[in-house]
Amino acid sequence: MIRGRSQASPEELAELVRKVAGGDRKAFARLYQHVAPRLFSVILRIVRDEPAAEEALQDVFVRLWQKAGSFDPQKARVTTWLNTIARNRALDEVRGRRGEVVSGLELSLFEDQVSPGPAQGAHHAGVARALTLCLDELESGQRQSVLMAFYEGMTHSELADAMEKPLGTVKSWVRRALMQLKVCLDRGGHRETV
Amino acid sequence: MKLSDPDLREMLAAEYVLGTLTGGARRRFAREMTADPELAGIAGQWESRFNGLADGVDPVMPGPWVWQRIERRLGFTAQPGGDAQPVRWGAGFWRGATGFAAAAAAVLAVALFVQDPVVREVPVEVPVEVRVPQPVEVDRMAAVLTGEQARSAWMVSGPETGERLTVRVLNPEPLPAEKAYELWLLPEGENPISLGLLPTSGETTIQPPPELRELIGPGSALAVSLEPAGGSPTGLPTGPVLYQGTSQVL
Repeated sequence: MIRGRSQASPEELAELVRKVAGGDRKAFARLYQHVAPRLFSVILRIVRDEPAAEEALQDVFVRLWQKAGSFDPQKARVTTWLNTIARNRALDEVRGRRGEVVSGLELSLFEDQVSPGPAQGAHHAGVARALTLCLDELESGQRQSVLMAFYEGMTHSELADAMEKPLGTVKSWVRRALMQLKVCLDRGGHRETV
Repeated sequence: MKLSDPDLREMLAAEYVLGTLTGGARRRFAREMTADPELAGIAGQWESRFNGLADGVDPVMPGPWVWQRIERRLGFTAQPGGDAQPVRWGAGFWRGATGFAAAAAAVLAVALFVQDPVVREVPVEVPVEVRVPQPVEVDRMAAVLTGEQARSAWMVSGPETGERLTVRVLNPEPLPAEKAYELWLLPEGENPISLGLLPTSGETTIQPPPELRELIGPGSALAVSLEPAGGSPTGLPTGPVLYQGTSQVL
């Protein structure tokens, strides 16, 4: 695991974004230093083409520079926000190649319209742990399809091909996995409600 | 269209975020969200739920040109003629040491391309002799010292003149008690020459004595050995060599 300079606390990152919103280029550079490698990894896994991934990463940071002022740390963590932009940009890239247009979701995370999400501040570590626990509870085909969809940006049919299962099976795996994850996460990853 | 069924709203939001909602359904959902803040909020919650997954990926360092292009696109830097492609550092180098090497790139990007242009003050630590702060050249070469399994432990960079070496700690193995990491210059056909002890956190500047400077330049081989606290008692490496690297022109 990464230690040292590249691991900044959510508060530090939020502070950097605040400074970026004020036009602070040094803060922008530091933020890049902290988050670019992970975002690049997220994008690269989905796009699987280095020049296209580099282009996407540039877009993410150009957008970050322009939109930093509308980021609200009360509503989402910096990494959630940036991961969302990065994943959507990456999905746009691969879906675009298939002739689809996808617009970003990141609006929902930083514009005024949103009620606070479940994963803020100190609460987040617990959510991440809960996610791991809840993924473990899934049946293996379900878990695998969710993880491949998330990390590789695979569609239902790509999942079906990759796992050599009928499309309908994979679709219902994904759906059941998501429902089960929600139920499990809503009770904080614990097996039983108290 | 107004999505009203709560279960359907939840499921579409989840599949949208996961990326398995595709085609027209994806477009419609995205449109719907802009008009339906509560729906966007549900999707936002899914983003937060999944965020731990994205945080868990192994970082991959983008090449330094990515940052340069971002700066250019935002008008931070003057437009040079054409697109500055990396000439000497292929993508292979950057990708070579997986995992932690990402940090090296990030550090590099900041150290080399973000810093104030051309001159900066000499850091005022390590007062070996009375020195007047003076402008020094920017870093023109760098070596990433790597160990087993391509673990990137330190990055050493400096001007080609060898008058200064900046050492940034990346990810060395924790130092055993009563031990120190010592940095060695390995001149061809000669005994290793100590460049001093290495820090295990933060950043430090080494000012090689004048007689060593001509030995330091692009292509210089560097190594790190494990020594007793305080450094090698003999003036030569006495412990195992754990990390090595060769300085490259940037």
